[in-house]
Amino acid sequence: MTAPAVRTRRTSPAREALLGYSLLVPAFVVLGVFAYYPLYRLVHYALYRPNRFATREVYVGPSNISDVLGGDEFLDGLWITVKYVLYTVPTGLVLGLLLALAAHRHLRGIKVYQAIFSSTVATSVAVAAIVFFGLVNPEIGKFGDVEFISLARAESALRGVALTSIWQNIGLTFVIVLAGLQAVPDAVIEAARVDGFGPVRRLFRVTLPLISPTLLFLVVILLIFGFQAFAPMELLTNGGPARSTETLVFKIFRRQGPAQISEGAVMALGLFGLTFLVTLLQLTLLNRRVHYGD
Amino acid sequence: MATDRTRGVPPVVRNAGWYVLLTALSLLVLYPVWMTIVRAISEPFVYIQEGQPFFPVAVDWGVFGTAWADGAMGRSMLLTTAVVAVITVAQLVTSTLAAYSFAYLRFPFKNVLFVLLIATLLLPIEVTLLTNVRTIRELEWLNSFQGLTGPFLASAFGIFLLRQGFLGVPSELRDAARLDGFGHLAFLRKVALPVNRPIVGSFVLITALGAWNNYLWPRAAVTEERWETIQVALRRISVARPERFNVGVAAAIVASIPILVLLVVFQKQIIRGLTAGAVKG
Amino acid sequence: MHRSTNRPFRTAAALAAVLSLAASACGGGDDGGGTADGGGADEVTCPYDALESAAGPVEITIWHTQTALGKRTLEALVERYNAAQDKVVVKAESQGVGFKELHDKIEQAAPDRSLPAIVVPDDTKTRYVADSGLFLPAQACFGADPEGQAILDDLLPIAKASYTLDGQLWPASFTTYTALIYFNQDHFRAAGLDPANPPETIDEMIEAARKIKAANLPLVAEPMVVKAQSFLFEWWLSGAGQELVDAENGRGGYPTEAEWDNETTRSILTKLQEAKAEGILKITPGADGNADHLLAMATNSASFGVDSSAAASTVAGVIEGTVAAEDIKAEFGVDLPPGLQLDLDLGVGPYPGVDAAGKGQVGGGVWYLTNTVPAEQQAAAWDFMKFMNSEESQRTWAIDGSTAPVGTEIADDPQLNEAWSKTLAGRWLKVAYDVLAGIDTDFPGPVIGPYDEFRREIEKCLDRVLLNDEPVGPAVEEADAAMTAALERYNQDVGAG
Repeated sequence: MTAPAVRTRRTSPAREALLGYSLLVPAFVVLGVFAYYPLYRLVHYALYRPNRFATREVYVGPSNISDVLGGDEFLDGLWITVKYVLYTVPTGLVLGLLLALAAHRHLRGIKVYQAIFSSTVATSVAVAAIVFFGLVNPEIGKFGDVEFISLARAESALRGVALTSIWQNIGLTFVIVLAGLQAVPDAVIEAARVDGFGPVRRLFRVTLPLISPTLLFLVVILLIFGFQAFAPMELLTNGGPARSTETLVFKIFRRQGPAQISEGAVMALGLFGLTFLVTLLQLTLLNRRVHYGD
Repeated sequence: MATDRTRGVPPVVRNAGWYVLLTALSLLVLYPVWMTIVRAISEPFVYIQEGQPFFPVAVDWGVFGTAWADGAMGRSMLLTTAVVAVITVAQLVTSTLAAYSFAYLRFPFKNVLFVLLIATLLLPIEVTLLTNVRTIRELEWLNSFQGLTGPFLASAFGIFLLRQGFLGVPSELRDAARLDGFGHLAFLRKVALPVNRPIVGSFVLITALGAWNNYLWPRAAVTEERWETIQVALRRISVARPERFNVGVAAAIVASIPILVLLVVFQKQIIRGLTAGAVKG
Repeated sequence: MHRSTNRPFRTAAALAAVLSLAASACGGGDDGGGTADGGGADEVTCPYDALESAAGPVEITIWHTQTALGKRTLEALVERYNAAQDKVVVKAESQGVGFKELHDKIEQAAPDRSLPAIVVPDDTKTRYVADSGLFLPAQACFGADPEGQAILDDLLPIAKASYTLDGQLWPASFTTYTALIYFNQDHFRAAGLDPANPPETIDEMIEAARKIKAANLPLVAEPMVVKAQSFLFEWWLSGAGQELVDAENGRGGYPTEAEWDNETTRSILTKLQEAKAEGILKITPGADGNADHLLAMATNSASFGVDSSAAASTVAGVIEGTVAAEDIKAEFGVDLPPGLQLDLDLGVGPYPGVDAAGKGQVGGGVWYLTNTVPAEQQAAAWDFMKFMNSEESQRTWAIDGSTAPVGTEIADDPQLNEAWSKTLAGRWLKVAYDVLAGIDTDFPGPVIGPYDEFRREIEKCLDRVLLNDEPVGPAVEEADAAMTAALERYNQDVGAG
């Protein structure tokens, strides 16, 4: 994928290579120190457990990795993370789709509605969590005693926390789906209409398939957000009640101390594996559907 | 998209229907925002006694001032702005240099290096948190500017985006530049970057937005109050003090204002940045 | 938000994985080194005069967990100290609610030794503090500073006994609490019980609950309420002379076995379980910040309960209508309209025990000096602690801050005694102080390295037996086994095999 380079009068391949490498140095130094080096150390801590005073390390070996990955803490965290993703991704997708379908039309003032729907993009995770703290906190929240999303009970707490992400994601999902819809040429929809496709059939047989790459892209984004969720849990329930909202990232965050860093490192590597799988999924799915309908 | 004329429903009624639906949906989306504002300006205990009504009670507009002063928000907003500025500029510089190299220069192992770069997308801060914290602590960068910005000074995503942009510069422009005797720097400054201004602009905005909203890393890299970025400070100001929740909520509102302003002013570029990759062309 | 083909991704990831595995497998065990020192092994000197040679004002930071009233009092004291001299500037930083976050922070700071000059964890950290090598035993300062001995002699005997390890007193001061029984005197009278003689043992509490239940008072559901908190049970055990670990309850060396599984534990749990089944006892969740037990008493659905004396001021204040609404919220998580006076006639008594009342342990915050800061900061910290231990500060703490004073002489102070008799809160705090002054110093409570893990196990056990009604035997056995395993790990870490 190289392009013909701009050359000054006196460039030799050696000089060009030197320049090429040196331009890469800043980025690679940063990534080396903050991406690759930490990965190496994660593997190290997965194999060597420090004592709680950080004065010694004990070799625990690969069995440590299998123990932790098969252990309750990791599996619980994994399951909670998966549940969180299941709560936030489909709802996010459907909401974004509904809003975008509704707002994708020529009406006077439609821009106002579009602005409103995309407004949650302006919230940070902390702000969104605070907004929902006021709504679902069991003591001071307006809807604090709605059982389905109650933060006071272990079965429902995660759902209450998920509301934060769902609401916060509305802006982003709307913007993305709308862009996808806007890229569909009017002519295609018009042609379908002329062919006698009713609105529902148009939606399912024409529009959705045409924006399916966009939707897939959105699913991937939401998946990544879901896997990385941390702030809502910390701010709304602090992992409780009874650790029912402790996602993987949350558990990892809590294992910074020397006595727990070994366990945490294995969990982080597990998260790495999960990220890898999801990315693989994205690539295979995306590659298969990329040329639809052009 | 033309409105439908099937079934003989007159456009006026159909439009009215859409307006109703759109308004209803808007109210749903804005409801949490409204309630937040109401909570901020109402006196907390009175508000709860009244059953948490839809409209504010015992209004106190001074709550925003209280939030600002009590939470030392000025200091953390300033700190956060500085951190965001450094991160954005650094990512722009490192990404531009690396993207230029990948797009226009030839050198051995280029593909391997590119793959190594892209692979770092699999190593978000959530995965590398524990050992990055170790690194920061060992360098004595805990509670410092370097600690807050370090991991974000370069980004594979930025390099990827800019490289795409550079590759997209038409060959006529490149040839013309070469004929005019442009060196690399001149080409970069006068052709490659200007042509890609929209992409660069969007990238800058998305990076700044992301850096402002960062929660996990600043939370882990800081143990002293005066080094808290605004998102982490919000935790201390609001959630940790539920008895003064009106102040906490007011603080959240104040903290959102810079982003809202940014969103309003740069709406187009931000949306373009967010949807990059979602839609072809 | 990127696009690329399949293959580069897979190669990249594989490359990264292989490289890192190879690299770290080659790296041997880093930081190989000696074992951590047990407390007091070497001669430790306190640089208490380093302050003289300091160039400008020395800044020190305190990590504490005070909230609401305690926090305001502490900040007032800090201001007073800062204003009264110009050699030291103190900054107090609250580390969140409850001790857990602070304990985590301390442990995280261990590898890079980045603690501030003073930290205030709770009463369970003594062994860890001594073993970590991060702290300066205050004993050294009490000895080196000529003014130190007098302060040392005056400190509450039980506090000294609790926090002394291997002959060294580690903390420089304490913010002590003990436990009390809070009871509704109206209910007592209505049931034919004498409010001047509250129950003194667990059996007596259960009897009282039965009598109140039999009196069929309106609103009363289960007369006795207990929050499933670990420390209540720990204190019942030590009050009865029952050890929690071997090796003389951890004071004669590193313990190797937990003794949670014993007659006393089983008997207490069984009695409580039966009382709950009988409908005379309500058990509330033990989570930090949960105040259901106090709410039950406030709404008259319960008649008496046991809790720490830390809440005494606020509870009394609520009854008299003198407490700020914020403090009610911060302390109990409840929104009560300000100025509300609860129509309750509450009394307090010493913590009922297995055999007698007023036994148990000292609890609360413990003020440790760290050695991870430069000498002049250590000296500054010691100077501040002398201020905190002064008569005037003790008075402020006791009167404004609702804690028991740390010294013995202060008990005769006229101002303090007046405060103690004037307000309801004051009278209650006097009860707490008397209990503290009178606890038998021969049995000051256990010293356990992995105390936090012990507490977790005890709380799990309590949840199982008292909240989920599981059989006592297996729950206690399993908790005991987990605690022994924690001891093993700790001993390995410390090199005590």
